[in-house]
Amino acid sequence: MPKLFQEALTSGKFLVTVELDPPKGVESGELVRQVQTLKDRVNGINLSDNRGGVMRMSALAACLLTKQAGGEPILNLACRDKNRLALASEALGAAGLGVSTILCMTGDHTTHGDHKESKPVYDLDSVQALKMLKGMMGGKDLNGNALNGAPTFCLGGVVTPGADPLEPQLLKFTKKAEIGLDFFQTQAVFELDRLKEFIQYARKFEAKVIIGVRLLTWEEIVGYRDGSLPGVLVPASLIDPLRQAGESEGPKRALELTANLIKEIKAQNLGDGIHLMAMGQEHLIPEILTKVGL
Amino acid sequence: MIVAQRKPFAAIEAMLAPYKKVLIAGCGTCVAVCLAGGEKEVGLLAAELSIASQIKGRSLMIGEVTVERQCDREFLSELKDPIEDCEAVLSLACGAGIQFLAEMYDPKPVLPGVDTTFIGVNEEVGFWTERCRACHECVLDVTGGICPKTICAKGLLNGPCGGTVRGKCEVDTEKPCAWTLIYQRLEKTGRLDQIRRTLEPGRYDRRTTPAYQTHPAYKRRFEAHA
Repeated sequence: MPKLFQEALTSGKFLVTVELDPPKGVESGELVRQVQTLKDRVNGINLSDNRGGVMRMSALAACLLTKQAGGEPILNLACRDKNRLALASEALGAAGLGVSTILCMTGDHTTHGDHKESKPVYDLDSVQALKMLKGMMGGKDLNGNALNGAPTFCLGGVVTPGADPLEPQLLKFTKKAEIGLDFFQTQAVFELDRLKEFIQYARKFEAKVIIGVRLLTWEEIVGYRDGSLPGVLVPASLIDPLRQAGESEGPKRALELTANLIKEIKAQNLGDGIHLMAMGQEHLIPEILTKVGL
Repeated sequence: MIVAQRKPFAAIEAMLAPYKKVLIAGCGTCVAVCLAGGEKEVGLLAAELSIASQIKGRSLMIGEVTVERQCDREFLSELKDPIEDCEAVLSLACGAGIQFLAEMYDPKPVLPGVDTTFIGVNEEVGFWTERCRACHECVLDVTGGICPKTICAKGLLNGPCGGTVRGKCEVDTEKPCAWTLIYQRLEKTGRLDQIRRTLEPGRYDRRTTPAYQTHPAYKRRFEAHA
């Protein structure tokens, strides 16, 4: 397995990335254990940036811990919590510390998290932020001031292929793709027909597309309704059987569903890899990867 | 119009607790339309306060007055006598009116009787919705008359976030996604090209300090602000 994510991106092999949350506190033992378990089975480990608006250790600090544990970190950078100065300085800090792969996103709204009353930032949107980061690679900050040493980033953006209607998403995707990103990571996908429609369009651009696959938790299954998971659409034909299977069988079937989705994505060539989001069930990731032969 | 809502009665009572003679000052423009601070609301609040103070055995004299606009010195000057005659003023105008009143009659304590909520429109009697964030950089020509800075919960300028589900907003799933609305309106009229180019980041330096503006015809008079 190529050591660097950038090398893996151009290797032509089916990519596997996973998402880990930095600790809610300073106890980082669990994160390090997860990295040690997964590092040889995946091409990159996303360290989420206050995912869902829930305050955690900084993603960059968690990237360093990941790197020290032998993992290949992907820094998540959300526009929700940082203005243009903070986004740029965080990215420079990352590059300075040897973390050069950045996935930049808008970020779930603060009202979804555990600090609902906080002031959401969104000074830049994800298109503007990615454009700024790309510009920094040319040695200039957003206002054209020279940088003392230009960073080399491997830049990724996010897209939601399951959006309905899809066209507004494609409009934004195109703006990002035209910046010249290295890769896209999609929001969790459950409907392959929608994914096919999207991937057909996405193939017009050079960026690799890594398809998001989410292992639903029992709580997510029970509480699911349209909009309960931002950007994630699970059709009734998939969620109802999981719910009906009950608390002991339902999660097992959710795991089967995840494995089947990955198999289909790979078999039908619907993406350049998968990004697995286990939502707190990271201990199940090796089992899923084994099931699908990755 | 500027929309406001009256503060909870208990909060108003607590603000007025140190005073025995207060003037409730209404505003006859925006807050009157949104039924928060016009002449009628001044009367209702005065009656409520009067009854509450009688029940509690507290001495409270309440004066009532409503001017055309509290954001205009000409109308505020009408308040000179009643304000001299009271210990504190409870203004039911928007935040701008309250401040202008406080400035003009300094050091008389001027207290807010409403919370100013937004710049919006009168959808129907009793129902108002927000439409403008007064950002200094209107993009409504590009976005088909729908403001992404106001209607999009994240104020995004270049398309929807990834959280929209079935055309609804990630933050309030009862509300439509602003960018879905913008896309659909522009598509209908063949103007989608307008949003294919990337809109640049906002200029927050223009909104960092309290804004002022001078009409070109008055530049000489207000040279310091021109």
